[in-house]
Amino acid sequence: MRKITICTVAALAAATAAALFAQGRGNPTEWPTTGGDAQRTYWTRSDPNVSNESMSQPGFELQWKRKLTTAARGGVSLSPAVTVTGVTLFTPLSAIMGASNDVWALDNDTGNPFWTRHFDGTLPAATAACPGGTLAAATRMANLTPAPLVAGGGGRGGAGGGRAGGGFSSSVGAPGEGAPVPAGRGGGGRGAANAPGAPGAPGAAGAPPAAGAAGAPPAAGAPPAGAPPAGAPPAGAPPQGGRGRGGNAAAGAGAGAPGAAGAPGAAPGAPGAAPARGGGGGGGFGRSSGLVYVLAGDGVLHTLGFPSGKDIQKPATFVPANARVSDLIGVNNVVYAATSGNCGGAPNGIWAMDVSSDARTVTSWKTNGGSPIGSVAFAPDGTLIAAVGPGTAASGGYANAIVALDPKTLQLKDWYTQPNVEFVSSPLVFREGDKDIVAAATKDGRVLLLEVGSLGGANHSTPMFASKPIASGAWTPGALAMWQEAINITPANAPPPDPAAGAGAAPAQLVTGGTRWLLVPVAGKLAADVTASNGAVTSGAIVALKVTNDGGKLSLAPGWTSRDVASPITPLVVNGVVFAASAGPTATLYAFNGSTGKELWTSGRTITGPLSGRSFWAGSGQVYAGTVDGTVYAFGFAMERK
Amino acid sequence: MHIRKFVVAALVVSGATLLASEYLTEGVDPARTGWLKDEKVFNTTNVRDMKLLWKVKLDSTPREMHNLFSPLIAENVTTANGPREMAVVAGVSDDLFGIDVASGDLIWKKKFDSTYTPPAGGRGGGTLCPGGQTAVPVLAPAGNGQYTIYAISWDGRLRQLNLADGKETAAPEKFVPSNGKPYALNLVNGVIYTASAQGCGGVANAFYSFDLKTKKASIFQPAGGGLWGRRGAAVSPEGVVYMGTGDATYNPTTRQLGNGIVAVKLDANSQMQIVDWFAPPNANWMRARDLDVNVSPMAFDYRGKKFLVGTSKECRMWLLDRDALGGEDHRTSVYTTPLLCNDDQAFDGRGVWGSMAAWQDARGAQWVLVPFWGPVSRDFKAPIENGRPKGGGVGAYKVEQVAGKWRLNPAWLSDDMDLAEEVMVANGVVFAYGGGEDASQTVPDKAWNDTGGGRNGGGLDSSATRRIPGSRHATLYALDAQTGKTLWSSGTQISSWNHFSGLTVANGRAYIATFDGMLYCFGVARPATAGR
Repeated sequence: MRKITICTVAALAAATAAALFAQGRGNPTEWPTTGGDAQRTYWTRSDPNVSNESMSQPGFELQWKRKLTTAARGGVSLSPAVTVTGVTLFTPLSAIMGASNDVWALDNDTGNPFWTRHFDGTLPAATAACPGGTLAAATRMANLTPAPLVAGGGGRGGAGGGRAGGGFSSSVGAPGEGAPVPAGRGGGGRGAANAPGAPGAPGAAGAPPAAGAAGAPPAAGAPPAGAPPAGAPPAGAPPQGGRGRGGNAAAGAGAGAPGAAGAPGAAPGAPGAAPARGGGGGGGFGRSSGLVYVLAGDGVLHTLGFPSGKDIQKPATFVPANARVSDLIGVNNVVYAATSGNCGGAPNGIWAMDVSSDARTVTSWKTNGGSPIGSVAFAPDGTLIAAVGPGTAASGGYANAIVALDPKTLQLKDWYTQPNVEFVSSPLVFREGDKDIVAAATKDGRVLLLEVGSLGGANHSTPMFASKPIASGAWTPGALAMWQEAINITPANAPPPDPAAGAGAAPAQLVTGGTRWLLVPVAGKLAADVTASNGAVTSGAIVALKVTNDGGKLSLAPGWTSRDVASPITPLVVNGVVFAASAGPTATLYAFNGSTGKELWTSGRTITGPLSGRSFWAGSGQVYAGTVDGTVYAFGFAMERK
Repeated sequence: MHIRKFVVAALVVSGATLLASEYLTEGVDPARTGWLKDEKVFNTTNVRDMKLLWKVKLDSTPREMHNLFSPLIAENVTTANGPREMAVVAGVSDDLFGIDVASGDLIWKKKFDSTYTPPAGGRGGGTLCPGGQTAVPVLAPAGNGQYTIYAISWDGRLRQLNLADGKETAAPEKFVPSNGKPYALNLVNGVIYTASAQGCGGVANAFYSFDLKTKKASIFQPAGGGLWGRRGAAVSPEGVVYMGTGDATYNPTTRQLGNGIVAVKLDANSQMQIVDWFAPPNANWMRARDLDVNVSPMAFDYRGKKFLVGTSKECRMWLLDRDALGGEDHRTSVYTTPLLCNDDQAFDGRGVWGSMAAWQDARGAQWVLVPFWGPVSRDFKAPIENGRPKGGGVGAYKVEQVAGKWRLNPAWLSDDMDLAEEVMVANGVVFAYGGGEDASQTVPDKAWNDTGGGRNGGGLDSSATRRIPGSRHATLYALDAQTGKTLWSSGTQISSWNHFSGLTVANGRAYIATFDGMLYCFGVARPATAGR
């Protein structure tokens, strides 16, 4: 049965206001962790600038490029980045790691280095198996709850919104009566609470912001706006979640009385520390700009403030020095990482550091077998999912497995394993109906679906579904991606908006999930059974599979394939547009219609070097790529920036 | 309290003066060029010996971070005690002070009565909306050594007073709504102009005009953000009134003119009507980053062209043609400079916040001077650089034609200043000052090992309670107008700072007021035949 999400009037009004706020005050979309969210879907639900419609028109182009200085290690110089909006109120940033103990915060609008840090310590010589250095992407705290579907177009939001009630005007008073006071018009400007104007006629309104962005309404069944989500950390913990969903979107749109003291985020665990924001908190001029967690080469975790890059918490040892570490992820005030390859003497396993207190307790789970593949993912109930690659499993150890761990204790909850099933991608988690599903790719070119609540079934070795081979030959897709179409089924006779939601608030929106797409990057040739639908494939392609649900029985059906893309890495999805990156020898970006695979745009020859690993991310209505020579490229619509 | 300090060597005689320099309006002239064309005392030689002549503590109560505004100077005022050179200083708490500039003596003080009663126990509007009197008045000669002060009191009424004795010469007139934030007054052809900002007190952000003859007051709302150029609206020789607009949508289709420069003019009915406008190509992006067009534009004519120069927190300058502001699409400048400062494109503590100057030297070169806050842009280069400012400075440009196209070409860069605010030019000397306030509007991060422990900042806090303790002191500078070289600095002589105040120069004296209520007068020896 398809899921129908009901967005409350208040929540949608808040989201609308936030969207208007976004249009007037910059694109609100954020990318808080590698893969865009805790489920590692690589999917931004909506965006006011990017859509299939807007990408079908000219205008998406290079906005800036910035050369960063860091020495590559193992052929990789830059990590994927994470993004945040509203730093010191108005600045959107990307936090990106450089391989040689460096981290930068770059202004997403201009490429200006907002701050940079270089961590002390001597790094060992890099090897292919153990490159060392600082290649683990940073993370912010991500929301466990997936963002809801949002129906609507969006794209090229531009200068819509703003003041309701008319434009410039003139009047004159009678002699001696002074200047006429305009009826119903107050100020505006920063003295009057920085209101972007009444959320009236939205103009060229885009869809409300995406998951992780300010003001996106909570999903049906989720806690009401502003309430802490299930499992919210106790007061005293650092700000929760991405600076996104729920809570104070409307407040974010209009809050910030002049001169009002903000509520600075005290150091986690410190007396009087600000309570958890709950649900991500959303905007609000009084709020602190947030934290980013980065791992130095010596295995020390740093908690940096976005405004300055300063260590807000005392740095603490997280993993052994010089380990090979996956991209970090933060959930519920715990930062997680996976170590692989036994580099630096670190055992293969999963690590967790509780950053909510000064104790900074570290917990770990060792595979005693294979290396974790890529990064871990989370089910909405907090269950940690990891893929484990090949190896010799000691007694009680795991290899060729998908494991489910308790997020607090890292105790094993469940597992799937088959001796001849070798995983080659990190896990992706999604909810279909009332089930949470894991998708992961295997070396033989297939994709498996497993149920989080019963990995492998009773015998821990039976997948829910195993696809036919998609790739021929060896493949290492790294990670999968996913997105789902959203269908607005609000009836024409929908009730009018709640007056309490403010003038111009949109009526309640009913959304149902449409086709769900699983995106698989395939380098090399496709399997024989896979039909190329957008031109012949010789070097590689993005393969989109439809997730079908037949009375609760899930499967993957053929969807579309992209044009030929050499060495594609995991694609990103922004508001139904699939962005793919060809790694090299000269990196090239593509945009495809997410429902058909039709090519909408390419970067052509703009990028002049190979991609640095998986340095590819989205946020603020743009996509970014880092190349081996340390250059970051940002592509987007001009938004009158120049 | 009255503190007095005389320079013994000053030659002061009574009698007729040959100084001929007055400062009747903020920014020297209606076009707000900041150019004291008539200055005869200061020069690049004697300014090196400028000294503190006197300082006087005025009984003015601060409101939020505001206190005293820049004085206006009239050279030859007929008073009961003979002709005097006088200053009038506005205080934010609805006061005016009349001062004998020869001695620093307070001659009179006027506290406005008010028809506005602030709510008892209510919270004020904060730093951005201090309430009180916020507009620098304007002086007008009334004949026979008489001068009329025009001011707007807290209740929004237009006041008219005699400079000689501070007595009101006419009944207060209703002008703008009360408790707003009007900026420096301009008086042209019998019409007072001002502009308001921040939506303080619910007052519309708008141009306002008052026709002294018809007593009609007009309002023009650009449907943008606040109009908060420090020197108020500029008026061109053609009588067109210009002002930048703060953060709001720019959309001419819906007649919204945020983040632009708007031009209006009075019609035959004493009503302001729109004449033209300019919005930079990145106006809506500037809005997204809160980079208001917050500086009073300047109008000047050069080689037959009618120019207007504007700038903003973004920190680049637009050279515009007054005959076609922004060209056909209203978005095309004659020339737009690269960034002078604010590489971070921050909304606070960086950018241009004060007032520019424009002047022509004896060789016919047209200059534009721009004071800025924060570090100079890493990409800005000038042929003469006296430093690479970190806290602020002055950038000087020449208006030149290159291959038939007009440009603003960098000429020199000053040394570092603590938030360079306003500039004026007098006889080859550039006067500038650093205000020294804490201009930050967000809570800063604190590292875990800083005093008080770790704190994640970034949230809005422009409160006076946070910023006042962190403010430093103002510093006055005199620079060589051709090279930007510092000829003189007040050093640490000024103990306090100021916020949204100004600088006055006239007749060999430079005046600056600070938050603690002090008015400073620095100056040089005057010619023996000079007046008091």
